[in-house]
Amino acid sequence: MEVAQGALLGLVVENRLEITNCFPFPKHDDTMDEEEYQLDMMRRLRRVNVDHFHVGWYQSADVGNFLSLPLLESQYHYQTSIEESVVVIYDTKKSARGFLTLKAYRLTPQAIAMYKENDYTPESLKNLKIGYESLFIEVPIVIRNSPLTNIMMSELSEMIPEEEGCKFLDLGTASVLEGQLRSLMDRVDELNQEAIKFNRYQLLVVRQQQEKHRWLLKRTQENAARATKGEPPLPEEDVNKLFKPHPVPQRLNPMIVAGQINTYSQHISQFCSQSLAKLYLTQALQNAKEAKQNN
Amino acid sequence: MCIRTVMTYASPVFAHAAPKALHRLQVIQNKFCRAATDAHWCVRNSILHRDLELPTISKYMKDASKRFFDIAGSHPNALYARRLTINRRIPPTLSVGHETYLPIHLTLLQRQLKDLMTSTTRMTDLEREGNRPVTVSCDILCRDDFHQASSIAHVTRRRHSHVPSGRTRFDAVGFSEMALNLVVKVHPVVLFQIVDAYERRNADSHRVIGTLLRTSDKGVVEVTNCFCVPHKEHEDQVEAELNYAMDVYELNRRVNAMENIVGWWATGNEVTNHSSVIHEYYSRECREPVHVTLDTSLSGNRMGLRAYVCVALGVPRGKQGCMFTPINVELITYEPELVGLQLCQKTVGGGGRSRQVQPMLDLAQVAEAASKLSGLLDQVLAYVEDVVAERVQPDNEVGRQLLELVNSVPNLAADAFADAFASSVKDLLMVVTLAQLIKTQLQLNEKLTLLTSQ
Repeated sequence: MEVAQGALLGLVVENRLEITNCFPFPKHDDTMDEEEYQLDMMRRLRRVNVDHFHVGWYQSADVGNFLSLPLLESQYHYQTSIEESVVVIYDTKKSARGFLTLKAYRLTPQAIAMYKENDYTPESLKNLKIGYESLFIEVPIVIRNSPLTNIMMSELSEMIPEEEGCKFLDLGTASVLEGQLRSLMDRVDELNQEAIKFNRYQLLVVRQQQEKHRWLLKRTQENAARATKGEPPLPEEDVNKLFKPHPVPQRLNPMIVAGQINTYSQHISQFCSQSLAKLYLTQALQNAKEAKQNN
Repeated sequence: MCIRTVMTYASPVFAHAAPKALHRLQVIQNKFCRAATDAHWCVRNSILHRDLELPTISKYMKDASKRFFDIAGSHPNALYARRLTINRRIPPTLSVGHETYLPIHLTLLQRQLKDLMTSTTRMTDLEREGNRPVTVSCDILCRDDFHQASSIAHVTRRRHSHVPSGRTRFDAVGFSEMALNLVVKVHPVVLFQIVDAYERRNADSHRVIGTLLRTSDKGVVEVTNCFCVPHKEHEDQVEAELNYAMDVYELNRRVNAMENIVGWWATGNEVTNHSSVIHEYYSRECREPVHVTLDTSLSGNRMGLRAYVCVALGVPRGKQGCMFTPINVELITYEPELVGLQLCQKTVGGGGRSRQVQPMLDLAQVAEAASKLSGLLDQVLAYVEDVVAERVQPDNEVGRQLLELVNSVPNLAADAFADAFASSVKDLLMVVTLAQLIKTQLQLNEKLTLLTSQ
């Protein structure tokens, strides 16, 4: 899926990050230098007194699919070079339905440590105490406008018809829910594959352990026999040569998929709760109508 | 002829006085000619003038003003030869004022011209009325070439080829129908950017200008983006950083190849003297640029949004001027834009104070809409009660709309609705349960994975 991305400009004031401007990145193209484009753009914006500190980036997304390895990578690089940077995720489809969805995320310190060590074995994850829920931390977003902008908006409100922008009261749920559930199912399948992979690995490890044990037992018996014969004992270190440890499956992908499933299910519960609310609204309307007809 | 020099002094300025007034001067000249030649009473004035090789007052004045303006046009004086930073000459102007441009106020004329373009019946009316003088005022700025015109101008059609002395005709040369029926549709994001640019202006500047971007379709200009161009305005010149504008435009093209220059914007509530110079630049960048102004100075306690097109006017074979004509401007939004705007509008707090808002959860938004709806219903109910109690004058139109509203509530049978309602609720509750179950499973999965690996 094609996503829109861009840079956020702003500055840090006390304990908050103010994002005051942004500009889009060009679509990926080998012919031009993206870094140069960004610098050019920032230089130009500085000329007209726009805050020129790069404080993060934004990306469009559809429900939960923003969570991915590239996002993790980019945000890692941002956060290591610019400490305060955030990634702002804008949900296009949901906003088109009438619910503005704007979320800001930052990597947790554990996630940064994990990415730095580039070690995704279950053991190191356990040591870092990191899971899919502690990959990112959500930063609350607050919208502020200058008084002059507010004046302009009250002017604008007169130019927009009152009845517009009520699309979110649409009662239809089937298509949206179907799409979301389908994506959720895909993700669950993927996670299932990963789980199977991991189980197989565990099985292999267990079997190897047993074999190793058996071999060692055999070797000790042999050595005991040799000792009675007065022969030198065979080395027991051969065990490591014979039984190479199985590669430990990387846990990064399952973690990301789990994170996606988590966001999907959150979205679905939200969607359901608001749909229920709308249904009960309709019921009230219907009841009122029936009561009137009965009178 | 020293008397005539006195008589026609500063004729370029008063040459368009009413013919009757000029006729009086002609009478005086006639008397002098008759006295000088001691001619018999039966000799005609025209013969006298011919024999004396003396032009009539009107002819003399016409030639004088022609000479005057020709000189003015190519005067080497620095006043006329002002330069823009891009080395473009500002066309010279009449020396009546000391400003570079002579503002001419032309509403009525403009209206007439508009009518001329749009309706043929009006055109014939105008023809019948011939050279009816038109007084013009306000709103429009005419640049230089209207020296010959001042507060009175004549609307005539092009086929009159001669220029009566001291009179100017406005030609509908660049007055295409499209230009005036043009509608500018502005996306809110553009206005936000303009206001932001104004708030971030340099301490010494009072006005901010910039470029508007988007494709202009037939009859509709949809403005989707804009950027600010740094510039400085002095009394007599404008310094706009046009290189900057070009660079930003090129950079923007890399991202949005679809966006083209359609015009330019400025803050303030009027088209100023400098506007035409800037406009001239933009008319090189695109065909028929539009000019949008947003009144950030809040004159009249409103933030007026206006759009103009520049219409070329001029004397045939003479110089061309232009006039900024207001055109319709509308607000257009994409659906998500509207959603965002509605949230942003919540920052307008009570008492004009601004406040912070957070994006709402879905449920909260529905709840808010419900309370708004019930508020509106209360309002309607109160109105209906008032009408029934004859406290308010009933309005048929409102009544019809209300009836339509009541009828638009779908008429579902009670049990059919109950069925549909129950099944929907069941579905949704099921999905909620499953979603929660999945979340629990996820946590379990993670915990187990970490547990089993020693």
